[in-house]
Amino acid sequence: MGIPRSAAIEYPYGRPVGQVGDREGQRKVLLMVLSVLEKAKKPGEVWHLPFTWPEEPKNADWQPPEMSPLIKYYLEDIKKARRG
Amino acid sequence: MELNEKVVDGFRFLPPGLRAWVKTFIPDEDFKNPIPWTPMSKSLSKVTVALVTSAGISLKSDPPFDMEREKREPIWGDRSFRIIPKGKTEKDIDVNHLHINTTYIKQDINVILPLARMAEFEKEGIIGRLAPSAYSFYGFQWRNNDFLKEAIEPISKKMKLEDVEAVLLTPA
Repeated sequence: MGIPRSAAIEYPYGRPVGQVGDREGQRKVLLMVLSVLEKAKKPGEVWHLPFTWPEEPKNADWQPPEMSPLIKYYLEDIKKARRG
Repeated sequence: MELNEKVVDGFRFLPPGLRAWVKTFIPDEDFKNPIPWTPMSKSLSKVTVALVTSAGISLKSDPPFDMEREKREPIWGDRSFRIIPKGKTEKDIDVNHLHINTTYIKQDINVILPLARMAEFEKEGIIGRLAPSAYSFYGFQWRNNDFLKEAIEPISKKMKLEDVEAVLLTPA
């Protein structure tokens, strides 16, 4: 898949703009994202944003309360992929 | 291309099994086909921006995205879309998505559909205008090209009617 302009951010799934109630943090992210519109000069460019999520991935609690139907369906394949 | 030294690890938040499995779907080679491109023809402070998210957000007054069929058919995802008008907040919405924790979006819509933040930018003259309509679809589209016809085509038509010039898509 090709995307005209991308701003990559290392934030958990479901909260790409920032934390709940963090107006200033969300503004900082969005201002940088919008700047990519002006900075990107050719299709397919990916700009990496410098922000760091304050929690470790295992504490970010982004996953659904119940395993998704897809993951349940492919659970054996996922286990196999993990074993390599 | 980077804004500083950081290189984003797109897999950082995935547990090891899921990380290894997802990687099996990613081609080794970079994307080679042509990528659509419209150059920015004016400064951001004059541009009309629309927001789109794949988070499964619907207005409480609209039907929710269909999670029950997906539970019965694990590789099916709802192909419809919803319009979220400018000015709506977390109080006005429902969120349905079986692949993420939707709690945070219900507490603050701006974590993924930043309508309030973009309205601030409009007022401050940072962007020209926030489009009257934002859009949500349901991000789980498993090898499904019908979705382009059923959701993306009507969304793009409405964007043209509202003179949208730039789109920010926030994936769930």
